[in-house]
Amino acid sequence: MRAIVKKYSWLIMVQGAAALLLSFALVKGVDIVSGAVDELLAGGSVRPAAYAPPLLLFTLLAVLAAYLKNYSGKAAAIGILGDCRRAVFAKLPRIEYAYYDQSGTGKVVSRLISDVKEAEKFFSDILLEIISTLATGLVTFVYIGRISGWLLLAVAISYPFVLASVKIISKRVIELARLRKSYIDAETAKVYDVIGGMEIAKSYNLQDVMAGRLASAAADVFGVEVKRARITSYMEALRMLLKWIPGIICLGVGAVMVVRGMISAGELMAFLILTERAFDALSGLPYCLNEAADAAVALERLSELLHAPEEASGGIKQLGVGDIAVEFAGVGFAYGEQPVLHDLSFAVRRGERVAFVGESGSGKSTVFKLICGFASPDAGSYRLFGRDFADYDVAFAREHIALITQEAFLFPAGIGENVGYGRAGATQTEIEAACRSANIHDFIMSLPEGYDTVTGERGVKMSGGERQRLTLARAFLKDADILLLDEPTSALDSENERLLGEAVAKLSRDKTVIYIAHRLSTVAGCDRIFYLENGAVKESGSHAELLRRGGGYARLYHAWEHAEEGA
Amino acid sequence: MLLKVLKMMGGALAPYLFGILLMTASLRGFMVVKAFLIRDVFAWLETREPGGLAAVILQNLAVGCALLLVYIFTSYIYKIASKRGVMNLKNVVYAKILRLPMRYFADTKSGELISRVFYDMGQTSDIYEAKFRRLVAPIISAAVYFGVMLYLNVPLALGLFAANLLAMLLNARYIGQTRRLRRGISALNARLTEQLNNVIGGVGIVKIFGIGGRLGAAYGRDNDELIRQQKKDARLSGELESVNTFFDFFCSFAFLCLGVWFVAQGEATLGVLAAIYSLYGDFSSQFLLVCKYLPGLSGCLVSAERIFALLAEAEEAEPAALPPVGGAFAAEMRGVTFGYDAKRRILQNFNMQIERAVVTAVTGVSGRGKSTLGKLLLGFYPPETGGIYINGHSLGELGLYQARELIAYVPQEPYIFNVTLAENIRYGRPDATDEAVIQAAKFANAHDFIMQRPEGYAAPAGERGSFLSGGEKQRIAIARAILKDAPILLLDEATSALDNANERLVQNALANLMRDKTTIMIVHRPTSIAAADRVLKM
Repeated sequence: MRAIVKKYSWLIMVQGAAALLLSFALVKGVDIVSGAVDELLAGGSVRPAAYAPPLLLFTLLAVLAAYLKNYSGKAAAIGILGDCRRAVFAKLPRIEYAYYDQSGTGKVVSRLISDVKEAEKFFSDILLEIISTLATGLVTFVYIGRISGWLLLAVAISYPFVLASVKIISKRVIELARLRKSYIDAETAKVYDVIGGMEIAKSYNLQDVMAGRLASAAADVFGVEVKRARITSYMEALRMLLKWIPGIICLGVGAVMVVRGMISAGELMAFLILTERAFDALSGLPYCLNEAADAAVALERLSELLHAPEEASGGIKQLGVGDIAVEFAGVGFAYGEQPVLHDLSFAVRRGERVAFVGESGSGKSTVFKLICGFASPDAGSYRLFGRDFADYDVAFAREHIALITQEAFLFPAGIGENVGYGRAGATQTEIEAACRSANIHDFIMSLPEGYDTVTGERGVKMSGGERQRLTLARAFLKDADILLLDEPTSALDSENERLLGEAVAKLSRDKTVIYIAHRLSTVAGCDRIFYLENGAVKESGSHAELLRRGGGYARLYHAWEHAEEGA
Repeated sequence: MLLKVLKMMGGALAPYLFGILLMTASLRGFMVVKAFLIRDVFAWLETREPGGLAAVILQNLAVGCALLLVYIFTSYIYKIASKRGVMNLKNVVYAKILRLPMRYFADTKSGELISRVFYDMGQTSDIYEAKFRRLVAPIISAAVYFGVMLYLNVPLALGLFAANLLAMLLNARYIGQTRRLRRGISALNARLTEQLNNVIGGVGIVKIFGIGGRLGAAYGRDNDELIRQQKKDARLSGELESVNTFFDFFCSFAFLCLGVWFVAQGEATLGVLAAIYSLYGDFSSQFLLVCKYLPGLSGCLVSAERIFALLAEAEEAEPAALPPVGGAFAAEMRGVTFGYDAKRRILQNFNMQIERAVVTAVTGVSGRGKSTLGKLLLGFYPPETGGIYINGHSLGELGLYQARELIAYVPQEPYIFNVTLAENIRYGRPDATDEAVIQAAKFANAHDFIMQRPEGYAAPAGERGSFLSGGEKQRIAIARAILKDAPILLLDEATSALDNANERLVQNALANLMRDKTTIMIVHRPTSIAAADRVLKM
């Protein structure tokens, strides 16, 4: 972050110089006019023509300075933010998975968006404002000080009133603002609630009930607004009054000084003109500084993000030897204080189809995270194709793994592109072949826009099974040695289940397939089943073996079977 | 459009306009008093009458304070009126949303719909709360200042007015350009945000498929385009800033030179000059304010237009009334053709007859329209062709309200509102007594888990029922349906996501409910049709 700002610091300096120049032009111009006034009062003749050329010069200078100040300031902001966004985006995929796991992806996104917005506001507005204000203040006060030290004193006495006028905000107002925010949030939540439950609202003829709920929420907000209006109206008037006081002080002091002959009337006029401008600018300063403090927090967080630990990676880019695709030996793993895996050992041979089965919380998903290298074991070892996973170049290792997550994740892009993410440079023919294997090609062709159909939030609606098969096509395209398939918990209907099962079955026998099975119909076709309990393999063997053994797996299977039939 | 927006305030409009007028006038009056103080002090400097300075200051201070009192009072009136307008707007929109047809919520993703409505409503409210006043106030202010300046010195005032008008016109030229540019910028920004959302939301997939680089390249292209557009905008705003600086400086200096000349000619006093000058800054900024806020207002008006479009949106229409058909069927479909979009028909000339007082299971592979069947029966969507009948009467003949009264619906994913558990059940029949609610909960096997909560029936359900497990949600939904006590029960896979114990409880609850009712059970798994008397395979 610091490096990025440094890169554009020259633009910020140009901006500062231009701001000084602008203020200087103003002060010089006013000075000329004040001289004219004095000349006039001294009984001299005034020829506007004589003043025109220098005034015009200063005006042109100001025009140039104004452009420079504005453009260089904005250009700095644009450059800094542009680089920052690019750096952040490049960084995101490289950050440790644990970072997202701990904070939750939603929170990471919303915090990032608000931080970037905050930073943008700071560089494009707040900083510009602060620099202009300081330049105006500095140049003006130097000029006033040169007229008379006493005038500067008058300014010094007055400024606290300017500050006070900005700062008066009673606790009550803050309290009310907070209350208002909470009522508005409550109202928003209610609207979401009502729209979310629209089917129920309609089918139960609840429109009036729901309208009443929303109206009462809106009325709550109005109630707070009334209280707020009462207070803010007073405060605004008080602020105006306070803001006048500096003017009165400066005018009074100036008038007395003119009477005493310490300054001229022309100088008084220049003084009044300039202080008013300077106070106007300076009154915004505390606000800007507050904003800057907020922005500092946001920048700090962005900086932290850019320096967040990246995934550890070894250097080896060659698979080890042997027949074992994935091997865990005595693996232990905990999320913080929460132990998940204890002394977990298993080995999956190349080409084998295995399934992890267990109650929720038994550690199945964690096994997948470890296999993908999203987390590393706290104890024991995880070997991929005969080599410790940590020794591999992590990107290389992942080239050999394809993952299908429980919730099919699709990017808001064309279907073809989504599948194409499986392998860089895949041709349309290859993509279509993958989709055929995944039993989804016919569905895609039935869509009016075929492979160009956009998926995701704003795209076409697809069922869970269809989405699942699309991600399967993506995995097929990758053609990795190991396929990890986390079954969706919620029921796919039987047709979709069949299509999915068939597709996996088509996969060539030299691929290793590892399931997390929720519905045990999948399991029957597997070579081996690992039954997990409390983060360790409790039973393993084929479906038939485990059923004969009559242990935990058999219990779970019978319960599931019963549920299927009873439903 | 603006008039239409204002008219929507109804009774609040008169105090609203009154408030704006007087609060602005009193505020500007206050500024004029500030300027007059300067004039009076300069005038005093010429006489230097002892004790006069204090008198001048106090006099002005008193008038200023009086004006501020007027301001307090009138700005209060304005604020209340504007907030009342906002509340009014919200209520109108909310009521409208509730009357929109179901298609509206399915077509536009509901999250997107809500956020758009919120955005537009916020923007429209902003007209009441700020934008309109911000546009009108400068005009009123400029008029007040102009009047005072004319009173002080006619030629100077006219000259300043002309210069400012010119500046305003120049500003206006930039506004259109800037606005177009900004629209593009915000669209690009939204795209960047979306990409950010994706790379984070799908971080596991991004990592395992190694597509960070590819996504980054796409992001980089959009980012560069954003930078290009922003630079264009910066150049434009720099130019605008230059133009304004030119007028600011040129007018100030020209004014001062001319003024000094006027003073020399004896046509004005130094005090008047100083006074006009101190008003001048504020005066010219009023012109710029008009330019500054005009585009904001027009942006808001675009939103307001969308709100009006929403308000004009067709409401849930009553289906056409068809002549009654004979027969003893509880529900019937004749020749129904339907699809959510015209290209993909889900039902084609579909016929169905559901007998009274039996349990009918509807089965079939996904995509054949099982859930759609229920939605059509509830009149959520009108079929393209064909008729839907309940007890031999078409939905149109019954009217949607009456038709829905006849059906108790438990959807596939039961929706639980974020109100108390009792309230959630009571939605089945809003006028039900507490006893009836408890009775229904007992039937649905929900009473026990409700009583285990410290607050009992008053326990909150959480957002979308997040304080409840899947089974508890389903039982609350069933209790709701029981309380409704409608002759037809429509269950869309009521036991999909439950564990065994819960499933049994829910099954028992359903068995209670199905007694003496016509039941339509939509089942997605072939194994769960045991309880049915009839099976309808789609």
